[in-house]
Formats: sequence, structure tokens, C-alpha cells
Amino acid sequence: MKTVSLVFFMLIISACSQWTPKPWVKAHERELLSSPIMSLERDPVSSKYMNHVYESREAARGAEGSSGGGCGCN
Amino acid sequence: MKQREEQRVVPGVVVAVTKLRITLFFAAAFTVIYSPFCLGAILPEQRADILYHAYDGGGVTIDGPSVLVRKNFNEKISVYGNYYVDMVTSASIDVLTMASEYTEERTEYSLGADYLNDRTIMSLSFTNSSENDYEADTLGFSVSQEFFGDLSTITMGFSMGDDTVKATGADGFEEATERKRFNIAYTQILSKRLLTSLTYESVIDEGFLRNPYRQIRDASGFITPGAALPCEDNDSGVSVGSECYPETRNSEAFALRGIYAITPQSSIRAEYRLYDDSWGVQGSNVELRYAQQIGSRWLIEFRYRQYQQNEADFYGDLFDFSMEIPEFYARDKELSDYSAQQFGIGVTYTFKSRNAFFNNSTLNFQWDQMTFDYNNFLDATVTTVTPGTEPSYSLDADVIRIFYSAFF
Repeated sequence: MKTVSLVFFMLIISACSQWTPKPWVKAHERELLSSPIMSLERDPVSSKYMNHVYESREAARGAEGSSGGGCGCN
Repeated sequence: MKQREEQRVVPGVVVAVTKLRITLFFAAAFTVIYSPFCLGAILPEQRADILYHAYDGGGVTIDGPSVLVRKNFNEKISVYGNYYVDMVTSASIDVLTMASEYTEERTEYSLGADYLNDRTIMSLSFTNSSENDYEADTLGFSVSQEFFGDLSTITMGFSMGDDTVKATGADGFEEATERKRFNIAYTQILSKRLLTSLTYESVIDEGFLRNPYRQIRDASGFITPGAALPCEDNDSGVSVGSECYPETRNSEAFALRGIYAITPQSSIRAEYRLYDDSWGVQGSNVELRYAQQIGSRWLIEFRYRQYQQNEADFYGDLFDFSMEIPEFYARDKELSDYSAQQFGIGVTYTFKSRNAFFNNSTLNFQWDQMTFDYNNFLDATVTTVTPGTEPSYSLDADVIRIFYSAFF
């Protein structure tokens, strides 16, 4: 049983060293990702305001990145 | 043999030890495998923004400025301050059916700091929001960690808010609300052109959660003007036929976002968000954005967003209290069944010239047109028909943002 476990463990280690994912986008390949058109939210003040509009007009809240209190929505 | 006997006697302990070993193994493996590829994180860029915002729709006009300044020190610490104002003039359908037009102002101050240590950014923030009948303080903390050669980022955040609710015209009225938020976000670079993000946020609200002014409609006439409904919130004496809400609301939201570079000058961003809360509201939204760089100075963006939700368990447009008064009842159109559509366009112009204060700057104009179609919130301003047979309410709104951003 010990031998089987050892062989199985060695197989896993062997597989890991071969199949372990490595960072596939190098630093020098990220020029496009750093472009303004590739930002999920380019302008924090502008995005925060729109999230405030949504949170005031919709029941849904959360997972949008807004913070702060108050409503201004009566 | 002895070991096997012990395993039979305490199988739970053995299973626990085995699970612990597996966990430790994977934790160690994870650390060993990934740590050599980790590079340093960077602080948010230094910038100053001056924004004018305006919302106009449904009889409500809200506009005002927002100013943000962020400054970094020694490439380790970044601090920022944000000043924001809402100037509100409201003749919304709620106001028209229950009261008269009013104006008010909300002022919000935010201060925050980020500390960078190798691949970790720790952030602390404080926000105060103040208006004549509402005061809110929020304290937030978050930790962000980059790993896997900077291709992956995990961010965890927690915030606590203490709100004080007052009511104009009722000097003795003051109620408290506590808000807690926990969020976790995972961002992954999938290719040279594709970035994705998965976010989860849980919100817990406790205390006074309704609007002290809004009233329900009773078809039977059982509730007469001046009567206080048998709701525990009504002890204050300001509630005249007012709503009655639970004192707790728990919600969860998941969001999946992705942005893909179609060409070096254009990208498309997609978002899907799912929402669910303990009041029975389930909602979702999808959003698509297309951004196009034109030359080195112009950037235009087109947006489309769709949102829909169902009604809360205790929502009703028209109640009949002659037979039974429910435990909770509300007539907030934001808790009704409705959908919203939004189209938007944005234009950004970049000034490349450097001066003594900043490297470059941008001038931005963003316009959005929103349409809300309420399925079971009726237009009670129509008084020529029998209550309950009014047309469904809908509203259009224009949202404008004009801002100047300087980067230094």
C-alpha cells in the first residue's frame, strides 16, 4: 500500500511539474492591457457617481464598487 | 495494527487530520509554485478631478460638483480626498402625491489612504454624508494582493456604516441604521487582449430602513388621513399612513466583468450582475461598452445597460386593509417590479502638453439617457379613474457628467 501511495504521489509531482500553469502573459506583452481603452473603470469619480445613481434608483446594491452613505433619492 | 484501531475509535479526528494535511499541502504547493512569479503591485496614479454631474428625470433634478485629489508619497503611500455635493430639487411622483416640491442639499466628504508593501495594497477610507434629514458615516478597509506574475489580483474589503435618519417637520424623530458590507473580487488577465473580473458582495442593513415620508395607498379607506398604522416604526408619531419595513435586510450580489481589445485602438467591455435579497427582490443587469481611440487625443465610448428586478415580498401599489393589515407593507417604486434601459455616449479629449503641475490632462463629457418602466407601480397622479386602474408609471432621465482630469 505504501508503495502504491508513493508511486501515485510521484506521478502527481511529475504531472504538476509538467502541467502547472505558468504566467502566460509576460510583462512586456501587456502594453495593450495598460491602454486607457482597457481599463474596467477609467475615472473613479465618474464611476462612483454613476454607481450612486444606480443605487438610488434600483433595489440592487453591491458588487459595483460604490461606497459611501446617504441617499438623495426620496 | 494499533494505528488502525485508533482510526476506528476516532474516525472524525482522522478525517480532520487528513483534511488539514491536504489543505496544508495545497497551500504550500500554491505558495511554492506561484511565489517566484510574483512582481510588485503599484499604487493608483496621482490625479486631480473636477466633475460636474446632473440628473434630470421624473420631476427630480440633482446636480453639483465632485472634486477628487490623489497624491502619492515615496511610492509607498497614496492619500486622497473627495468632496461631493448633491443639490436636489424634487417634485417626484412620490412628492406630488403626498407632499409639495422641496429642495435640499447633500454634502459628502471622503478621505482615504493606500499603503503598498511589495505585492500587497492595504486601504483605509472614511466617508461622511450629511443632509438636513440624513447623516451617514462609513469606515472601510480593504486588502489587495497580486500574484501569479501579476496576472491575478484578489481584493477583500469590509465597511461599516452608521446612519442617522431624521424627518423634516418632526423635531423629535431620530432613528438609527447600521450597514455592513463585505466584498471579495478576483481579477485575472487571461490573454494579451482579455481581462476578467469576478466580484461578490454581501450587504447587511439593520435598523430603520424605510423612508419616513412615503405613504401607502389603501383602497378600502380603512386608513384615514392622520391615522397611524399599527407598525412598530410608527412610535415616532411622524408616520401617517406610512410604510412598514422589516428591520433587517441581507443581500448578495455577484458580478462578472470582462474587457477585450478588439484592435489596439478599440475595446468592448461586458458586465453581468446578479442580485438577491431577504426581502424577496431578485434583479440583474447587463451592460456593454464599446470604446474607440481616434488618433492619440480622442476617445469615444458607447454604452448600453439593461436592468430588471421583481417586487419585494411586501410591496403593493394599492392595499386593502379592511380585511387584514399585513405585517409589512411598502409602496416604494424602487421595490416594485420594473425594468430600465440606458443608452450612453462619452467623449474624452487628451491634452498632451506638460507643465509645472501635471504631465497630461483630459476633458470628458458623458451623457446617458435612462428609461424606467414600472410594471406594478401605478401613476397615482391620474385622479380621473378608479384607484387601482391608473396607467403604469414610467419615467425618462438624462444623466450628464462633465469633468476635467489632470495626471501628475
